[in-house]
Amino acid sequence: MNKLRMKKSRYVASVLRGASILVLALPVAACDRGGQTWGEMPASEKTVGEQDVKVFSAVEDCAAEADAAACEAARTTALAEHREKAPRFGTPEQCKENYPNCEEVRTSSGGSFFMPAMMGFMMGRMLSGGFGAGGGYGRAAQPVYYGRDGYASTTDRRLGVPNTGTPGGATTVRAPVTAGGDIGTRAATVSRGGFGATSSRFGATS
Amino acid sequence: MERIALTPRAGWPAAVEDLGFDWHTTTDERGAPQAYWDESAYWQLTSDEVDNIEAATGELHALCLDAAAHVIAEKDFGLFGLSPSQAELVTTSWARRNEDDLTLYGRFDLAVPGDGSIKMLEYNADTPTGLFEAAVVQWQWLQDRFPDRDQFNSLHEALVARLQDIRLRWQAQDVALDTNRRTELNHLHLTAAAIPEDTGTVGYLAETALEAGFAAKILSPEQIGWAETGAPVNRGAESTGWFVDQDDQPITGLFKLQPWEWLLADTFGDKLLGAAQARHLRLIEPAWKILLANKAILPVLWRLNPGHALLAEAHADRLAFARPLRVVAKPRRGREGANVSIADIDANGDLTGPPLADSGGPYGADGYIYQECVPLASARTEAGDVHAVVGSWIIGDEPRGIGIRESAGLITGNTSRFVPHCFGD
Repeated sequence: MNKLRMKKSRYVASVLRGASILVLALPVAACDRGGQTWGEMPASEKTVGEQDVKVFSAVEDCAAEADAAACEAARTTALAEHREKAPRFGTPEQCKENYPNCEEVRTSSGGSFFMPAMMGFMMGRMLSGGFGAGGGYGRAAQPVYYGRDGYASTTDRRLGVPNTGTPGGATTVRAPVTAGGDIGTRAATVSRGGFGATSSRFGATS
Repeated sequence: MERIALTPRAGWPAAVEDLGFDWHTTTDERGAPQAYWDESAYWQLTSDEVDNIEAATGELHALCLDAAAHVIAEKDFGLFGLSPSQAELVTTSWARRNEDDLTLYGRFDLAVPGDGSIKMLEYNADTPTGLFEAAVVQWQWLQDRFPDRDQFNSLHEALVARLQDIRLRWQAQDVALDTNRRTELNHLHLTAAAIPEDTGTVGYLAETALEAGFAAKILSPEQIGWAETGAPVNRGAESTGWFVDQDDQPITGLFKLQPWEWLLADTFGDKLLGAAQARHLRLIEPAWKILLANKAILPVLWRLNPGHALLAEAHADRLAFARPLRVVAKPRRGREGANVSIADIDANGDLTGPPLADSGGPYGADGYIYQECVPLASARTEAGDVHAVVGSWIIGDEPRGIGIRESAGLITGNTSRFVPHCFGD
């Protein structure tokens, strides 16, 4: 048995000099907001480049640059996706917190919910950049929303800040492209307050 | 163990506050100041007593690991009140106890009555506190008062070494699993409720973590966020999430000074369970400690090692004592000595009179276990009799030091005083 337990403690030496710290910081550099270092985000979500995306607010704007029938089809596809997958909110206030333009949707059961208005659509194929099997994107036409944070987004991806300098016609958004061939990074929503309620019922630990 | 009165150091409050020890005085029920750190006396031990405590602590830790292995192998979770998914997490966690789910520390509370016997009262295996006091404050006291004597205390060095070990093993595990969280592998978040004792303890542990090579960051449980991909509200079923801190940075390693059962009962409990099960989040202490922190482990220990000299007889059913005896009723998931009562029972397990002591408190909803009442170290003082419990620390798997708590009553609670110790001449 080791009789000699006395030791020189470097910690004790340092605190005896009054060096007591309670608030510490992580190096921020380790976490790149580009998306590739999030906790368990799959490798396919890694950002590999950027791409200019054109967002059309009307079929006419689109037809000025592409085949009119394709533009019409893209808008129809985007609208269907919008109705099915747009972010939904229970109250107009919740929606307006995130998007300046919201619309109410009545359900067949008599209730209603709120979702952002579709501000435009983007076409996959004509924005060719060599991503995905068909030379277009993994997904074709998609609805585009403008958020209060100034970013354009699809139903589940964040694109970038729209170029507001374009008078009429298409709006251009410079958006990240992921290794999986998707345009935009997946938006993260953070909720807090899910811990701590039980401890307040009891108090100290042990 | 001998209790010796001593005049406190002149200006001791300022001396301990310089260390960051700002919870040395608490308040009683009426709001009057009450000493928590008490250096108006100290406990003098012999070298043999220290050796015996050290050996007993190591042996008890081994018995506890065997008991946990037994509970898991036999799926004997009945007494522990775990849901099926919690039992599954404990089982997975136990299987990973040498990889991801590494233990940092635990504290045995021991009865050392002075007749040569040592008995385990309980194992604070999940969220033990009193660490800073034992590791740093009583060391400073020793340097000031008895620099030539010794103290059973190599806690700080042991904590740093163990945290370093944990960091390196997590790192190796990340490389082996080829996960994409490598950039976070040196990050350790530490969380505790906004109570001086708890924030002080995690503040100290954050410093030891820094010394061990971690980047450490403290946050409150309320600040822990859950990030999800996809659009809000109607995100698809395939969507997964991860825990983030107050700056939205991912949390991949978390020291929590919150008991597992509180976190699991919270709104994020299911997410915690999923993240731990999926290895997305490593926790200190790991989930398998749920078993050892639950007092239901006491009757299991007794059943596996009946008559063991280091154990007090314990049963889930009072009738099992089958003889008149003084017993202590402890809530299975109680803390801080709350809801503990002491009573005499007859051979049928019935109380022979009103309880001799009853601490009251918020626990007990999960049921009780019963333990033979064993004598504690005690001493007669001018203010009356005092009883002391030896808190014996395990760091990693090794006994590395003690801290002694004292109280006038038979139940050591939240307001018991921390009294320093030394040994040798």
